[in-house]
Amino acid sequence: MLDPDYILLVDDNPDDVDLAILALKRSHLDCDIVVARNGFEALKMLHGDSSALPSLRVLPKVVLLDINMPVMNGFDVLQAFRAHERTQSLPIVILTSSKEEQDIAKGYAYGANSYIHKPVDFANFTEAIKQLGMYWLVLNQTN
Amino acid sequence: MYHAGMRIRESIFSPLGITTIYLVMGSLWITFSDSWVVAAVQDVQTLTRLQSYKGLFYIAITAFGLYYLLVQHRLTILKATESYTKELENRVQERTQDLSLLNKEMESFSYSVSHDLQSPLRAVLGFSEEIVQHHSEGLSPTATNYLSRISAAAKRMSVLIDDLLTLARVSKIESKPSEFELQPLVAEVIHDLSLNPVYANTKVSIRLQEVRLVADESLIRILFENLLSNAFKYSSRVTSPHVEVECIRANGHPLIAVRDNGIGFDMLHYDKLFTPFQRLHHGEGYPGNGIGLATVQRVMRHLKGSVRAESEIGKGTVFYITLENTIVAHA
Repeated sequence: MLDPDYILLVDDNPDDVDLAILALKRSHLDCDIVVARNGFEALKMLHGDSSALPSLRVLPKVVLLDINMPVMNGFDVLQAFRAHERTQSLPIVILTSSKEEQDIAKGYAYGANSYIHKPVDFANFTEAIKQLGMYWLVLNQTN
Repeated sequence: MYHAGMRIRESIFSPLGITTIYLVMGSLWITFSDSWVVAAVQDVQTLTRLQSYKGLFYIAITAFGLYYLLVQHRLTILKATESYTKELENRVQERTQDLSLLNKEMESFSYSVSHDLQSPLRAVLGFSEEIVQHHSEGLSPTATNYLSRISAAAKRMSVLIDDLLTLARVSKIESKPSEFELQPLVAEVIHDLSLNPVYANTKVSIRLQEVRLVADESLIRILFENLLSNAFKYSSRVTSPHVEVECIRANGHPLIAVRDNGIGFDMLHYDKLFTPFQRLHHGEGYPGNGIGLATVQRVMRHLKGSVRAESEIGKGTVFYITLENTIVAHA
């Protein structure tokens, strides 16, 4: 049974997926994580138009979205989420290797709630995830 | 582009062509007209008068002819210049297109370097850290040592990638000049560096009161981050490390000096100082990749300023920065 306070992680790189899961675990953020291996999968899951994939009836608390993905990149996914009634106000955090100013600007312009650069160093990565978790925890409590 | 018609035109209306026409026409006129006049007139006086009229007539006709030839000569030169200019313009346009294509390739290269090279490093660092922290039971000290060396190497490579990206990015930063005070910026950079426990004993003096610059702040920050991290690094092992930043005057122009009392370098190798990947010091005490000063030089080129250094082994190094029209106020 899926915890209703789950996180959706959209990332094509299996190493980055495992690292993010480890970082969440090490930050003691006890919540379920659903992984979409690309943009299409994430859209199908949340917009519920596929029988092959578990379409998620409850929306995640937050979506962690990578930018650099094949076929449908993070910006396309972000735009599609924002264009759809069900996901237009879903909290979306871009979690990417890119520190490029144009990517940060584009992310916010397309409606991301936050932008996190994935640090190479694992301790810093865990710290970033921890900060993010605390932020959403506070936000969810106030809601 | 030249074509056959133009070449014929050019040869006729060239200085040699014009002179040849003049010579041939003149010789023919004198030869034939003289023999006609001599055959038609017997009287010497009339003959002399006719010769004078003939001469005047010839000068008038050739003056017109010469005028026409000179105009044509000028037109030919203008046309040749025009076609040459057009050819040059085309060539410049082609080169510009090539360059912008190259720039775009370079941009996407940097972009993919920042993404695709950092990602595997994150995996190397993350998983080795995870083994050391949470799965180290049964690992021999040698294995743990190897793992920490893997992490250290991956961290070094990550710094190298970041520095290379900064170097590549510096010349592309669109300069947005604004007026600001230099002292707080330098103090901030020094504060960040002082957080490193290795630099706990370093004494710092900043004398930049009232120094205001009109320049791109992000470029100036990159400049001081690199110069100051070098000053801290190379003075960290002397007995009382001291780093100074001040604004001085040389020949009436303001200069900014970044000075340290560190190990210095041999001025014989000065030509290698600003070359990427060239390091004048090796060994474990002074980690680095030789990109910092190359970045400094690129920043200075971008700011239309200059940088030079003076150093003596065992005594220290000073970097002088000249920023024409950039330092707008100083004490």
